[in-house]
Amino acid sequence: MKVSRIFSVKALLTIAMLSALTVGIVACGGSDTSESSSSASSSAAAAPTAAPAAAAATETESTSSDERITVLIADLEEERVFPPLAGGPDVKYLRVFMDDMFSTMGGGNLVPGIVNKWEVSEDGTTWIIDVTTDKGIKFHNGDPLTVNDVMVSLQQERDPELATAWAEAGCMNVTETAYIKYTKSLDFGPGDDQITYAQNRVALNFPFNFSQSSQDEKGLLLPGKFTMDMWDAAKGKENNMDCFEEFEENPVGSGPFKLANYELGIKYSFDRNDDYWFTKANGFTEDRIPQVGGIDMEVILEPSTRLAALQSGEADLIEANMNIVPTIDANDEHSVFWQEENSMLWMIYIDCWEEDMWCFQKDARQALQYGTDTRAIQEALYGKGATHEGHGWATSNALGYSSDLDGFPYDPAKAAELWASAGLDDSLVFKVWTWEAGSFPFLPQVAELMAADWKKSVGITVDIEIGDQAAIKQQWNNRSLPGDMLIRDNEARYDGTSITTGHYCNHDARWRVNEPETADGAARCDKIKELALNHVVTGQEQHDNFNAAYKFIKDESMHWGPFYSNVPWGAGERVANYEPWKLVPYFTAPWTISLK
Amino acid sequence: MATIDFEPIKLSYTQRVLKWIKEYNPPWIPIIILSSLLFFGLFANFVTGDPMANDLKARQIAPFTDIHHILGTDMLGKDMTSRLIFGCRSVLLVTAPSIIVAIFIGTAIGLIAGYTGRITDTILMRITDATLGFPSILVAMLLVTFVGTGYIGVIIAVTATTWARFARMIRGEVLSVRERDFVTLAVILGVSPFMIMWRHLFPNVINTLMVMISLMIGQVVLLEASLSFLGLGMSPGEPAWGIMVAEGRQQLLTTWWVSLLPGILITLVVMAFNFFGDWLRDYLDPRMRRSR
Amino acid sequence: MWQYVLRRMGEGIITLIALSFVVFGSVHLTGDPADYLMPLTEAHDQKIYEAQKKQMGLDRPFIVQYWDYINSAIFFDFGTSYVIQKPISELILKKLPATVHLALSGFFLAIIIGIPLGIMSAVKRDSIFDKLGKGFAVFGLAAPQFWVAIMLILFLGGKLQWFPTYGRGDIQGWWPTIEQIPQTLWHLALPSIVLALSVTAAIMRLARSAMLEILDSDYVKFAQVKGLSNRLVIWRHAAKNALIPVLTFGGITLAGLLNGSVIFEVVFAWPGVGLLLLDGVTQRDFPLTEAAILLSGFFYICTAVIIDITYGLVDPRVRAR
Repeated sequence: MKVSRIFSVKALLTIAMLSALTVGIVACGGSDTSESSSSASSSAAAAPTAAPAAAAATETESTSSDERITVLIADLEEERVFPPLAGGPDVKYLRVFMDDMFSTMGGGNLVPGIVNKWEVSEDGTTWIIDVTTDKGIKFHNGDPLTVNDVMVSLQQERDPELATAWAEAGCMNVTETAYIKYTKSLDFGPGDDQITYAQNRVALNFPFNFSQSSQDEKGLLLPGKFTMDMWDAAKGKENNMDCFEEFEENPVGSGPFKLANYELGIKYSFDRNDDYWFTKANGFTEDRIPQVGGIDMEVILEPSTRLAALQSGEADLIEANMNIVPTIDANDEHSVFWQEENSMLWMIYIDCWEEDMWCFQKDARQALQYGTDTRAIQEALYGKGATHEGHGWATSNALGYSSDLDGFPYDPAKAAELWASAGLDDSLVFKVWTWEAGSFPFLPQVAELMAADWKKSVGITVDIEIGDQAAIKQQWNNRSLPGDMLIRDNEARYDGTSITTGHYCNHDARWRVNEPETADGAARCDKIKELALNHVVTGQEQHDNFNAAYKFIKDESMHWGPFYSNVPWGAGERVANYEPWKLVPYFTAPWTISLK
Repeated sequence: MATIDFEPIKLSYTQRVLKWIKEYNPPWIPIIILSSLLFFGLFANFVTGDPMANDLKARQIAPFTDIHHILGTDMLGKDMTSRLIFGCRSVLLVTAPSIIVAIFIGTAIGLIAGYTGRITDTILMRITDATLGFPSILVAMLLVTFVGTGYIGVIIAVTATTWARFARMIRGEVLSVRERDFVTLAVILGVSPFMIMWRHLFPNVINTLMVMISLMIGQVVLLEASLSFLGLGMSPGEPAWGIMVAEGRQQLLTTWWVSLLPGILITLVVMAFNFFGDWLRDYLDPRMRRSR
Repeated sequence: MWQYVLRRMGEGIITLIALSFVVFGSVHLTGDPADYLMPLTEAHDQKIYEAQKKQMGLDRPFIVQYWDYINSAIFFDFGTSYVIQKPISELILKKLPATVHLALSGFFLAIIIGIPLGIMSAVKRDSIFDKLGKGFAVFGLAAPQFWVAIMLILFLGGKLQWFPTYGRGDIQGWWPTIEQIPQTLWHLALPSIVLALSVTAAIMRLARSAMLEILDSDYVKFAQVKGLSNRLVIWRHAAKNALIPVLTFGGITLAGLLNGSVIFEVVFAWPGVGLLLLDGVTQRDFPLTEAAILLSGFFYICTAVIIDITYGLVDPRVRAR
């Protein structure tokens, strides 16, 4: 059947007009949003742009600005905004508007902050800390800092009574009370503005664990009165999921920015806190008043999208990765700022405690290290994205590092020799588990390259299983991971006490690389305790002790980690500078972001 | 009365083939693409080198710049040509088992549901409905939890999500065929339901089945790509187009060939299956009508 | 008649319940959320682990857990998310507008492109127009969605800046304010285009085949014989009837779009239900995962029931079974 014309001229014209109209609306709508994607209509009111002591030299040369910037980050695990209910990765946004109790200068250097003095008893179990109440430190809602704020912040994490009460009322997960068993006492005193915290174990790393450099949210300073008011109101109630909802609706911190509004897991808008207390004028180590008027932090899972946003100018600073860095580098107007020592590569032997297990012999464990050209792997896959230094968590700037801890050299001949002397040959079928990690790219590729190296040096066949992170971790924790090695990552940190203890000396630990109950495992643990963990010392002595312990650990080779990752941050044309901290994961030092 | 002697015109074999081609006009380009897919898939081992060979000194070479790696290399120095060709093999390895099992289950269920009583039909169709509403991402997630990434997981995930479509389609066909006279006759003659399904219904359903297969294979390839993108499909490093596209996607502005080439191949192959399937449907349909 | 409708609805409900059981069971197989929440450092404590399980209600027998769950799920109370610790219905309601907007606008775009293309394709059968139209539609269907999306974002968004590269804009909830409308449309454009690309082919094909069948049918021929103008014939008689299969297919597609939005939401940072599902699955947040899947299953089954009922209304033979 033939049809000459289907659409009359009229119909065609109507369609054309409608399309033109749509295009017109869309195009006009486009220009409105091409500037910034912030929801705040105007920038902060005309407040002085710097602290009164602006005359004092600041590190960067660019002047402070009232403009807002857009920062794009990868996934959070978005728990809740109230810190006791939040998870470790949430510090990406929590630390922007909240302070930790102990301040640092990045890495492990503790400096006076909310807590200005900290002293440990001779046996290492009891800490007396002084709270800074005389500098006029205020929360964002105007409440002045008192010693009670620090007390409440510590109690929610370590006080058996309060923490259990919260968990039992259903206000927070029971797992948050995991550490209360170490508390002996937590009281005010002896002086005003002092708190004494006694544990039933040696705990030299207490200040570090509650500092800005730790990997989680435990150390965040809560507004004490606000929190206890919420708790009092919630005590009698039935529906206790929302105990702390008031805080969720009006988050109150004391940090360099204020959290103006947010959409959980999607977008967080921060405004500069012009009265931020951490300034040289106040007697602190540096000026931390932000140099931008506000930050709009948005969560974008897909790295290509973050890259596109940087290219289009919709974003000023993005969390990048090794895949997209070349594209950012190729653009002259964009720059890359490196956040060094973010995560460590961690290779763990899974079963080594019985004599018939292949890795019971130290020679076998070491052989594989000699048999891997880790330097070539790091250079080929990562370039600047990883640094070939350190051993596991003993990274370049960590407590106890020295260059003797760097990886074994690539020596296939020696590898073969050690392998043979351990009584092994090339018939061993070796199973490796790994996963794809956001924080540490290319783990599967690392596994593949290492497998190729081992085939060459000791002749074994390697079977690589790439799975889901949570599932593998769970099996590992339950001592039911059927394999020989786990290749994973973990956040780098300054003070490795807790991870060392957890890995080598804890009968409750579920990691079975090193069964403390066996003669072998116990001996290993004792040696580590003797070298480092049992000494109540600080400073260079502590550093040397840890160094000795780490050297022993390296020699034992129950785990190894030849390099650590550096996270690149891509910056757009507006950004002049950004100085993220070394050795502290997630998003750090937002006050160093400056605009051109 | 005069008899007219006619000699039936006998065409040679070639002439018959040419006549058939002229009449039915098969889609050439898709056929070439699909035959190449089949060829390379079956003989990849003999045609090209090792797709998994790392060469850290030859990383990220662009296409047409190096005679040893005509289509370039990827991040670990693996040759793109080999990987693309072995990708054909992955397509076969993933689609063949999953489609076969899906057909098996789906056709059986479709036949039974379409032919037997209302209750069986209802139950089976509701199960089918529920399966169709069940997102493949969860199936894939479950599988990765137990089996890890890789072929097995993808095959099971794909099978679990595709059989239901076959079932639904087949059932529809069966419903319309069962009212035909020859089926009624068979029932009257006392043929067992199973024989009716096997001998009478199934052959008439085959046409739809064939069309569906050619259309579904494309979907399977795309499903593998999506799952791999989410980290729930193939293992990184496998020479499968889907995971190659996913792995290389962040470098589309630099080492674009790692993601673009497999993506183009996926698109071409799926398009080929689609056009072929369409032609097949047209080809089978009027013929069916004419033969009645 | 009503018997049929009621029967079909009843079947739908039974299917939903069966689905819920399967979903509940399989989600519980994916892992141990209490374990997931346990801190990984030295403080693993069996007592705490047990207490956490108790707090989550995971220490009860499976059937009890299921029974409890289904009892509240019927009233759309899906419990509380383990990780976010907020009621799930609240979370889903917050994210639903985004997903629905995306699905509807993608579908709408596909319809306004696909149906005319299909009709014209049928009318100008086997012409160059037919071939090009089909080629374009099949291309959209054949290219992997995330790949196309990322390329469009990088080029149209990043390089050319014709569209925003991510997000919904400032819109909150279902309705944008007047000022927000242009921005909202602009943000919707790119994801809708990608979504439409994949669905247009199917719609076009349906429209085309439905149209072809009708064009060949007797009553159209009769209308032509009567001497009605071609245009009238096409539009009045043919096109309207061609729409029926398209719209019914459309219903299923829509439900499927809601289902498959995870990839879009990841790539476009679109804060919808798909991302919620992804979060739930990766963090072993059982209630969240179950709720997201049940909802998409619910949509799908609802659509299937409605379609069946519609067919039943139209075709008496279907009813008689």
